[in-house]
Amino acid sequence: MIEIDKLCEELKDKYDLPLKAEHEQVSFYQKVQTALIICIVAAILINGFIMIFNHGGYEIFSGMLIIVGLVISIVVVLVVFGFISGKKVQEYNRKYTNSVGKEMLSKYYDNVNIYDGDAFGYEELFNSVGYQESYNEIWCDKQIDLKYKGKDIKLMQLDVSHETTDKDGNTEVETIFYGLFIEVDLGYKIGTKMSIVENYNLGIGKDKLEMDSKEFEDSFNVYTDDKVKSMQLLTADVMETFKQMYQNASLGFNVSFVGDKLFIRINRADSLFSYGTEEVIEKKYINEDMQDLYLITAIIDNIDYAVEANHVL
Amino acid sequence: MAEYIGFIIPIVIVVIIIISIFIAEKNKFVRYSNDIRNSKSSIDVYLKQRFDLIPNLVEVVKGYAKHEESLFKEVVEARNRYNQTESIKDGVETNNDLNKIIALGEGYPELKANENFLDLQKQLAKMESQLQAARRVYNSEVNTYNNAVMTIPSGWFAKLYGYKQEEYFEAKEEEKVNTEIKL
Repeated sequence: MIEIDKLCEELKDKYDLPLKAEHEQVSFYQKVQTALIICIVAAILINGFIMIFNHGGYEIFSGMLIIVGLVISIVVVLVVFGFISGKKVQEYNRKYTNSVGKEMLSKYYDNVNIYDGDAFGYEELFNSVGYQESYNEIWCDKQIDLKYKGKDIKLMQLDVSHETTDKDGNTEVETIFYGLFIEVDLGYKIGTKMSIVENYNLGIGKDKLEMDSKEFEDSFNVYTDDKVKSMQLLTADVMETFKQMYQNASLGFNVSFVGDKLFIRINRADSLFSYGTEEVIEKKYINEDMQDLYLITAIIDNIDYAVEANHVL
Repeated sequence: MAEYIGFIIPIVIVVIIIISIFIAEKNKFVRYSNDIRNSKSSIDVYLKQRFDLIPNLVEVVKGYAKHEESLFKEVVEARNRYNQTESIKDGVETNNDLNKIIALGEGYPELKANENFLDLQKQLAKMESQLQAARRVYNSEVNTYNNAVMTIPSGWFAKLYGYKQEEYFEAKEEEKVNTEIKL
């Protein structure tokens, strides 16, 4: 595991100056946007008070009209400003990912390639696992191509949701998954469909495997087509690593094996390579990202070791 | 008749619920027993696969470790006994003797370098790993089943349907030491 304080210093030395001007600009745009929203809310509240505490009268009516006009003007400014600010934020986000993000990725991975468009066909990849969830919206924010110990890795920041509209026309959006979705080309087939998951919904594999570690079972359920193969893979060491990783991961993760592919889903609150508004390099975000990037390598290392040591193939 | 309907319907519902509980509990124990039986049979498969290599192993080792005649005899007898009884206890004993023969490689450097012996060691190591995994699957399933048999209220149903506690597949201490086969 990389030392976070040291990494933050390193990143600050390298990227503080080149990104500072744009970071300040983005922070400024975001602060103005917040201020405009506060103004709208305040104007609406004032209008509300006028309506409650005064009863009619031409002067009051005119005052209300002025405030309504003010709200409309601020909303128009906010929309225009939001558009410009959105572009700026997008631009900065791309720049930050391509510099700071790339540097962070290169601490663990080789051949880092960050894509803008749909390079991997993320929806097909997500569907290929066979999760028993229904969704009708899937959106990908980042796509990154990596290599780790010769294995090809595809990493995607996904937002998967299910939107329903009731008969009165009310729309409800349920988040199915928000976080990192990773496909690892293992280079070998473990010979069974298997999943190590928090939630039975995500379980692939026909049987539930009863595990011999209560602590492990408190966090994960294992579903598999071949109980013996899965047990060979889930040694005491592998289970211990999973437990530790689960404790460190703020929102949990799930792992599935299909053919020669390993799929990892890491739940997150923020997008990968989020940046703060206070500083160019903020330790909180760096720490969270590095934790998840390390988790992927730790899982791959443990699986590789268990496969070899226990003659799983 | 109509005045009894209000009285009969709740009774019918309660009876259906009670019957459903009895059926669900019965099905649960049937499922657990089937799982245990399946795990037991996969242990049997892995043990037999390992024991099928005993004649070859004895043949290879014999040439180098002539003084171990009694051990060879013992393992062949244990294997025959297991083939007759198919009891897990006999399987464990045979496996234990088999591991002792593999461990002989440590004391005879020429044997350790023999290609046939190395090949057998590799095959046996893979089977041992499968066997250990199958044993863990079996023990975990027995644990779930025994918990159901011993706890209330499922224990009452176990008693009613005649389900008793199952024994764990415990490796002997001596075997535990010998199962790690170095390659």
